[in-house]
Amino acid sequence: MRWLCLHFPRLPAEALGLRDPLDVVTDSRGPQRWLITPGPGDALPAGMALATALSIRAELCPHMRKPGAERAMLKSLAHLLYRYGSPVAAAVEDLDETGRIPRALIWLEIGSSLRLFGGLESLLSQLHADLDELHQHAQWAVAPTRGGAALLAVHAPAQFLDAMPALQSRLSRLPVGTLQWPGSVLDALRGMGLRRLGDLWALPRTGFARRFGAERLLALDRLRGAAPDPFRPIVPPPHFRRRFEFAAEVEGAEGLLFPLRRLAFELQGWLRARQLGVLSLVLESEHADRRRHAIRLRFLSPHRDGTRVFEALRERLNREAVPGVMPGAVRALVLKAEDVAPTAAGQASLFASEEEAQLQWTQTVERLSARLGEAALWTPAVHEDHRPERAVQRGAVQQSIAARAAARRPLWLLPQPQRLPSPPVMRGSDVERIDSGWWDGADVRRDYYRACIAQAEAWVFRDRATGQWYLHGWWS
Amino acid sequence: MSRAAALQAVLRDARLWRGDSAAPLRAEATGHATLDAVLPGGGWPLGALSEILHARPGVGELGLALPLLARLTRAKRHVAFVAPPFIPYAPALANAGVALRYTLVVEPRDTADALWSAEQLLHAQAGAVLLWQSRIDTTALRKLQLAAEGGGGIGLLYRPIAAANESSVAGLRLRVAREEGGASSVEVLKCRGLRPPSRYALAA
Repeated sequence: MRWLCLHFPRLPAEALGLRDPLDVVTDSRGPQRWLITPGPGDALPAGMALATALSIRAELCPHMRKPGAERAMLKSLAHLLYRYGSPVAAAVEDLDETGRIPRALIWLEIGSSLRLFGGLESLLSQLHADLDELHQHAQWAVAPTRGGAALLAVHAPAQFLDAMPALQSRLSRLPVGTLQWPGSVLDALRGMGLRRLGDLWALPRTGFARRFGAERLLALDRLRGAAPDPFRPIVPPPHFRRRFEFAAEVEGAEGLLFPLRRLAFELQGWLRARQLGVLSLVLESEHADRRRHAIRLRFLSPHRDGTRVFEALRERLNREAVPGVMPGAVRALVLKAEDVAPTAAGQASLFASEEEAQLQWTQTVERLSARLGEAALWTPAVHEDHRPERAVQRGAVQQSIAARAAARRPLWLLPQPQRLPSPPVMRGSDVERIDSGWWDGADVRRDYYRACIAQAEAWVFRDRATGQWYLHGWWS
Repeated sequence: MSRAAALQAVLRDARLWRGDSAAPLRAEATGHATLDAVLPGGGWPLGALSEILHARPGVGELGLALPLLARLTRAKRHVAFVAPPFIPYAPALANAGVALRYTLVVEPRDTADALWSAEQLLHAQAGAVLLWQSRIDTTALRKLQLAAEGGGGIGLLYRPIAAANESSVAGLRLRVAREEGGASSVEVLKCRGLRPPSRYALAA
């Protein structure tokens, strides 16, 4: 096994959407509060009591951690990273003890995918590019056991240890304090003069188990691969639904863009892992008093391009995140994929200039319909009907239509026939009689003529029921 | 590069106009033979904005662009009508040979959206974008011109006759009117690379 372990030291802050270095996240136990993300500079390490930290930097802005948001974010990251290896496991290792720092970890088994990505370096550079896109900070290590990889990722990152003996000798030099064990156990070990992991492995096994419990012995065995290490693998869910909760209410579109980008790229990761493309999605915003606002987007072709999703949603938000349309400031965003379809695996082909132009057009039309509304864009379509107003249809964009030869018709049609006060001046004597629609209640009995109105050529008709004259189009 | 080559490069620049000869211009035929014969490059300039001035709808202004639309859509190039005054009537377009599935109609709510849409579509390599606007300022005209240059398509801007008094960045300016007999005629008001010739009848 080759486990790539990723440790996310700033996850508690990232889960709250905090980006200012002065924002620190704290955990609390009774009256005690301490930092679980480091403050700016080296003077404020994670684990320091909040009171001490504030006495050093009074302008620090402390936030309480939200463990639920951390777990949700770690899970979505695990789904995102699914394409780099399998199986995938994730855990937030938390100890209910003052001054301890949680560890957010994701493990990927990359033994079988290393060749696919062309080696560790290229895999890591792609993975880091994905994480950078989300502004997510991670430390990594590769080792043959999950526990070993985790210890290295947290305490001695950026190491690739392929063989068990190398891992054992590296781990045996780590201090016992690196183990995520209760403080009382660690104190007892130190009291016995056991400073490093190597010292623990050298102890008699039965004595150690009696003194500290069989579980601790098993944990030590798992670290060096001497005992199996079962886990529950994470698989991407069959549906995509992600929620982003803001630390404070957000007004206007600008503040929504960063998390929106993140959600779009999480969707991209989910689609990639499942080899699907998205056709339609819903972005819901949650407001005060449980009010919600939904933005529904449809794409003309299934795709898994996070940027395309983001751009289309941004256009809509710029239009809709205003008072009167959205019910006030936003508390949370939810992105759901409504309709997905399989896409061709290779999105880039070698001879794709024509396809690319088509894609560019499609994306532009999507952006237009996102900003103007779907009803503002249409494709003319011919419909088999003698009544002129029924012969034109507002086709959904780019639906294919079989055109048929019709009688001679003007290029401009008025949306509604316009009543003329007096009979117009005719041009020529051609008349077209239309008698239709008696079967569906929209009865039409008209004589159509060409007429001259204000130096332009008009398409007019006389209603044979009333004798009234109407303007219905322009020859152009 | 030698001096002569540098000079040649400058002379070949499409933005340069020399009074004594027609500048080489990439263009797409309008489909009206008499008009093509006099236009520089033989038609609508590619990657540029052209203006069509008309007093009111129904004087042949759409018929002027129809052969172009038919040729482009049958070559699977997209064309768009942005903010048309009436409904472009599908049966008539189909009769003229326009492939409807490559035709897009955009009905924006206001001028800003209309200009933005036209610009986006020109950028996205539309074959032609037809835009109807009664008032348009120089900045917007420049933006459209740039978008047309970027996408390499043809921008046709429909404006009222009164716009003839305003200056414009458009390389080609035509005025369409209906004659007494009912036929349409087109007058070249301005064209880049040639002295404006006069008035031509359009085949109905």
